[in-house]
Amino acid sequence: MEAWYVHIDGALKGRLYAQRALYEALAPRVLYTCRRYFTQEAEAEDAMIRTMTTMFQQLPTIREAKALPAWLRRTAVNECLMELRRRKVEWVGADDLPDSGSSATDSLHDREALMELLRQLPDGFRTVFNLYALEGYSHAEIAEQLGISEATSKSQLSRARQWLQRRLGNFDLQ
Amino acid sequence: MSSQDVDKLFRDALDQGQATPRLEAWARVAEGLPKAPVQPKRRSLWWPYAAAASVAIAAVSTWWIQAPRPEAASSQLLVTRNQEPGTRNQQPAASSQQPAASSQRVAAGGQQLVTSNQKRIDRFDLAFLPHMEAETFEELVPLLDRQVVVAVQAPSPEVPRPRYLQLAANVQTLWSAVRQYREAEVPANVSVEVHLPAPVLQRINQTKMLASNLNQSLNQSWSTLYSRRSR
Repeated sequence: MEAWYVHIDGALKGRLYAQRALYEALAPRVLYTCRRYFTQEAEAEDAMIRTMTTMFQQLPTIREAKALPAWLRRTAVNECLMELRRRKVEWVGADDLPDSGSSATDSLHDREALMELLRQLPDGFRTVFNLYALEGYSHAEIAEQLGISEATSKSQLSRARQWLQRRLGNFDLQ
Repeated sequence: MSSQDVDKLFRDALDQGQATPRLEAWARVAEGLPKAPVQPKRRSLWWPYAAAASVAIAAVSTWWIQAPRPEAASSQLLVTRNQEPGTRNQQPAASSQQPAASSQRVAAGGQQLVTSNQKRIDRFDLAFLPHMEAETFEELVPLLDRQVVVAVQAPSPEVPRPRYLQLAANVQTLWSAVRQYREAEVPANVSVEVHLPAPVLQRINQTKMLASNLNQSLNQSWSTLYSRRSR
């Protein structure tokens, strides 16, 4: 059992130290998820804050502590998608993928480098790739979430992969 | 690198990671924290109270309907007549079946106990009361407070009426009734009725002090009374 479990009761009773402890244990995961969807750190932080606020409000309805991380991730992704929708991101039509940009760095295991590479993708491509490759959504679900066709989702994913492959091409996979 | 490899590469690298938020972020989360302690809603358990209230109402109603009326079943009338000292203990216990209407015409020494329906008359002497133990008497006080009624009948024209009214109004217990009756020096042709609950009279009759008092001389009774008052 992870250490943050013990703070749930205190957080439910409104104790600030327990809420703070829960936040400090779970917010980094949420922020990391949100960073994959936005290029700006402030945008990722906003999404994280909204997610954590929602979590504290919904905490009494979450029956099992074990389910909390998965619930948080789902909620974080939804918050990101809501923000992207609010900004009226062009899911399609971004034909021009950036030619320049940093390649993956010396080590493919440099996670931060891969994160930077992902964040260089335009919003539409990045979102589709995130949902498919990292969240495990199907094309049908992506189409429903973003209001696009499945074919568009597939083509966006394909082009995002190709772009990433080009950037990664010079490096050996270990 | 295949497309699946790309997916796997990013999934392995970025699926589970952590990024430390800025310190300022907590302040913004704290602003949105629920103010009051968050507690799951509980159903208010109103029905046990409703059930208890129903049972209580039913019980009280049943008792109210079935309980004997005090004046009909438990109240008895203690009729005492002021008389000349010296004749009280000489009165025989022979008037047990006299009608109540005759209680006002009882001969000297006629402290009589009659039932509320005024059919049964028992002899009773109030003189024992000053000799009852204080504890015994205190047991009776709660009952007396509730049900003692003192009525002054046929007041003598020589005695001012307000005094009788005061006598009746001030009597809260049998003890005070008797004492004030004595102190009032009511003329012989005035009778005082003291209504008592039957349990009180039973308790009095059971008191051994009664028998001993009845055997005492009247002078002893009065002397004891006055000695207690003087204390």
